[in-house]
Order: sequence, then structure tokens, then C-alpha cells
Amino acid sequence: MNLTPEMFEPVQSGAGSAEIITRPGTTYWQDAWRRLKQNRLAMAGLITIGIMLVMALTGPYLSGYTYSQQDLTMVNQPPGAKYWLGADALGRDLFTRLWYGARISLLVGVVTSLITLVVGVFYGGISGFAGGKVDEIMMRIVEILWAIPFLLYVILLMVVLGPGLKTIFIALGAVYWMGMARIVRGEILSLKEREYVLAARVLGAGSWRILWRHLIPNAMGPIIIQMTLAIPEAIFTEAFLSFLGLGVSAPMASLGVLASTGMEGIRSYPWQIFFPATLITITMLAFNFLGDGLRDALDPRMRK
Amino acid sequence: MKALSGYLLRRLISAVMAVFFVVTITFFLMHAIPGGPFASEKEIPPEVQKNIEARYHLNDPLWKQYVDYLHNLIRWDLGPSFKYEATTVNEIINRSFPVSATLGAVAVSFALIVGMLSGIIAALNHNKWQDYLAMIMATIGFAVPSFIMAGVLMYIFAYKLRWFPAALWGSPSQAVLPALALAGMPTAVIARFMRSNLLEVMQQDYIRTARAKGLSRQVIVYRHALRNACLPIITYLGPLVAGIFTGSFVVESIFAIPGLGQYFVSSISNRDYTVILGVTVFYSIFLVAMNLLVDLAYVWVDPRIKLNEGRKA
Repeated sequence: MNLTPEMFEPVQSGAGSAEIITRPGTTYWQDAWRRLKQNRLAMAGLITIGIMLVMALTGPYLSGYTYSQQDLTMVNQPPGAKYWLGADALGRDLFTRLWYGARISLLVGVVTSLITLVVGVFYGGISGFAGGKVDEIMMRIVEILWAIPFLLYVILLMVVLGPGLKTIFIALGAVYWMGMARIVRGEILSLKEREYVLAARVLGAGSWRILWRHLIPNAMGPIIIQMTLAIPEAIFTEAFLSFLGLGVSAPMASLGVLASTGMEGIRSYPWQIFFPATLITITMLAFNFLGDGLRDALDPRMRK
Repeated sequence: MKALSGYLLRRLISAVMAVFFVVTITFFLMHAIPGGPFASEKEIPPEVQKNIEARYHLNDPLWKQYVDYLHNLIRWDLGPSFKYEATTVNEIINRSFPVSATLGAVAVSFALIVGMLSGIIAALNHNKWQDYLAMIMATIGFAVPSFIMAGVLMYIFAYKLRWFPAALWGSPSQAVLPALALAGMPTAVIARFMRSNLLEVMQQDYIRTARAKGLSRQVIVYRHALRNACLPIITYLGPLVAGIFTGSFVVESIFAIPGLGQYFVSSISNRDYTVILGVTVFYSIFLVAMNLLVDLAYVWVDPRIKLNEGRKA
């Protein structure tokens, strides 16, 4: 056998033909979105929330009345051509007030959820990442606070700070961050043992960078689920507070305020409670369906 | 057993700390309110003002008031009501808590019985109409706040059908609607929880073994599966009791039931600070103690549970 130098030439890499990626890869989020789209209840929830958002933004301008405008000759009108959903005991248009209330309720839900996000991720992230004694102390504090009945605590804060939108945010944020902190801490605790963290560490990344650039983004799934489920809970609690007279102050309205004023006239003017009550229920359902769907979509391990 | 006593001690310390925390926070929050409890629009002569303050020790330095309060609290003396002359917070609690407790007990029993039964029926008829019906009911029950449930029940059963009285307290028929309103959401949660527990237990190996041995379906379900499926329900008892008692604030107000919840709500609108303080402390101790009992019961009932769970996740 004749050995020629050409035989020892390196073979051209075949990678070109064997490794061509012809289809785009699916990222985690595309994958999750695909799974979410297959969940009909979750999509119904998402669409409902979308419609509610649009109506909450535009609804108060559709009927030509403002939410505080009174017409004392039209007190307690039943639904009709003039007032689409009737008028309340002060002669205010209920259609306008309903969507204005929805706007406030959604705002309460979203802002509370954002406060939860910021405080919970900070607290839980630091606790989980630091580990050891720091984690022990930080979690013991949460454990003690956790034992206190939430609602009492919120009521107390509302009494002290006085009713109003801002104090609702503070009071709800002050209690709901704990659930988020626990979840984030648990996630970080397990994620920080992964190899990519070691790799980042070896490459010289500092703790802060690892926490914010590597760990928190990887914990985004559970965080988003928790945020989605915090929204209906906050709306619910705000409605409860409004019922105790600790909600937003008049003439502002939230769905809870509308339901509680409607309750006073339930015998004679049942539609005054019917519409806000239905809207609260639909909101709760929509967010819970979406939250459950997100749980299935974002956390494949949890799927049955 | 060493692990158990360590766990018990840890939980007890945690509970005592929580109560102490509530008392402290509540006390200072109540005293941080600008104006003080006797600020009113009416001009009061300074001598009268001074007398009132002396009567309620409001002219003492804050730390002394706090120490006094703690001292009285240990002897279970919650002080006088600011609003109702000659009534103490203890009297209010003694008078109205039994009403709330009765209502709460009825609601808790209803939620447990109906919730567990419908969960079991749904799981045993998995993916049949009974399952779908139970889960639709549970989903709706989960989404309707208790005060709306109260309104709907009152409208239908008290005003339209006139089956039950719409308000007040005394006869058993007056307890039906408020108990239903309170129990709605917990019933739904228990039904869903029970269903998924039972479905999960039915997948276990020991159930397959029992089936392979040739045991009848009845024996498998009632003797083997149900017992294990019911256990986790105990963990929900703490939140269940807390939810029902805090829910009673609005439900009692709606149905005009003279329970502690209604007193609490009216003390909020009256700004009767000692009552708010006392009732908050009372509810906190009650609920923290309930939670502790529930946790201990769970450890006692289920030997599989790991005692130092939660310490290292």
C-alpha cells in the first residue's frame, strides 16, 4: 500500500452538512406559550382579562357620564336606555362606575402583585443565595409573620394609615410578599447548586451578578405564576376591606365598594349588586384559570 | 421522640413569638394614630381632657402603657372599651365570641363534610358527570367572595323563597344562610384537595397490590385508600379556621349577628381602639393556637411526616 501525504490531510469537517439547523429552536418561553395556547380554560381567562382591561380603560367614557356625576332626579333607576346598568342611590351611572371600579380593582391587583414581586424576590433571593445563618434568620422571621392572620394585619394597617388607594397598596404589599419570598428562596436554594452557577463563578462572575443574571431569570416561571395568583387575591382582599368601610374613599369606587353599596339595597334594587358581584366573580375565575394554566405551562415538572 | 419534642418546642417558641409580635405591633400601631382616641370635633375643656386621659392612663409615657398592657394581658385583662362606658373588652369577647364560635363550628363542619364527600364522589367517578359537576361547583365556589355569597343567598332564600330568616341570631334556622355563606369557599377548596388526594392515592402501589390480591372495590376504597387520602386535609384545617373566622367579620355584619366579628367591624368604624387592639390580640392568639394544634395533630396522625421539614428544603 502506497502511503501518500494526501492521505494524511485532515478530512474536511462534516459538521457543515450534519449540523445545519434548519428549523428555529424553541426557547423556554415559546414552549410555554405553545403549552398555554393548548389550555382552553387558560386562554379563555387570558381573553377575558384582555377584554376587562380594554373595558376598564375605555368603559368609563362610553356612556357620557362621569363616575362621580350625580342626578338626584334619577336615583335608583333600573337598567334602561338612559342608564345602561341603572343608577345608584345618588343617581350616578352604574355602567360608568362599574368599569371605573374594575379599573381601580385591577390597579390594586397589579400594583400589589408588583410590590410582591420586588420585595419577595429581593428578600427570598438574598435569603436563598446567602444560605446558612442569614437564611435561617430571614426565614424564621417569615415563619413568625406567617403565623399572624393576614387579614387582621391588613385591617389594622388600614385603620392606622386611613382609607385610600395608597394605603391599600402598602397594606396588601406588606403581607403578600411573604409567599413570594418563600417561593423564590426555595427556587434559588436549588438553582444555586447547578453547574452553570459554578461555571459562571469560575469565569469570574460576582455573587450579585450570578443572583440577578443567572438565578432570578431561571426562577421566573414560579415567580410569574405566583404574581398571577396574587392579583385575584389582592382584588378579593380589597373588596373585603371595602366592605368593612376601609377601601378606597368616595366618590371613588372599586368593585368591592360597588358590591357593598349594592348590598344595602339588595331587596329593592338587586341589579345594583348583581353587576359588580358578577364582574368580581368573572375576574376571580379568569385570573385563577390563567394562573393554573401558567402553572402547567411554565413548570413542566408539575404537570400530570 | 427526641425529634418530636424538639419540633414541639420550636413550634411553641415560634407561636409565642408570633403572639408577642402581634401584641407589640398592634399596640404601637394603635398608639401611632394621630389625634388619639378622644380627639373629636367638639372642643373639650382641658380639665375634662386631662381627666379622661388620667382615667385611661393615656398621660403615662408610652413605654409604661406598653408594659402595663403586657402585664394586664398576662392576667387576661384587655382593658375597658373607649366607646362603651362601663364595658370591658373581656366582657365583649365573653359575650360575643360564643356566637361566632357556634357559627364558625357549623360552617367548618359543613365545609368538611360536604367538601370531603363531594371530593370523594368526584374522584371515584373520575371523568364522569359527577366529577365534572363537582368540579364546576367547586370552581364557582372558589371564585365567589363570601360577602357576595351572603348577598345571593339572602336574596334567593330569604327574600324570594322566604325559607330562612334574613338576619339576627337565636334559632337554628337563622344559622343556615350565614353558615353557608362562610362555608362556600372552604368547601370548594376541600373538595378539590380531596379529589386530587384520592386520585393520587389510587395510583399508589399498595392499592394495585390490594387490587391484585382480589380485594373488592369497596374494601380498597374505604379501608385502604380513603384513610391516607384524608390525612392531608388536616393541614388545611388551620387556614380553614382562620378563613372562616375572618370571613365572619363581613358575614356577621351582613346578617346582623351579634358575634365578635360584628363587634370588631363596628369597633373599626367607631375607632374604639382598645376593642380593636383587644380583639386583634384575641383572634391572633386563637388562630396561632389553632395552627399549632393542627400541626401537632398532623405529626401525631401521620408517622411518615418529617419533623424538621421546612428547615432545609
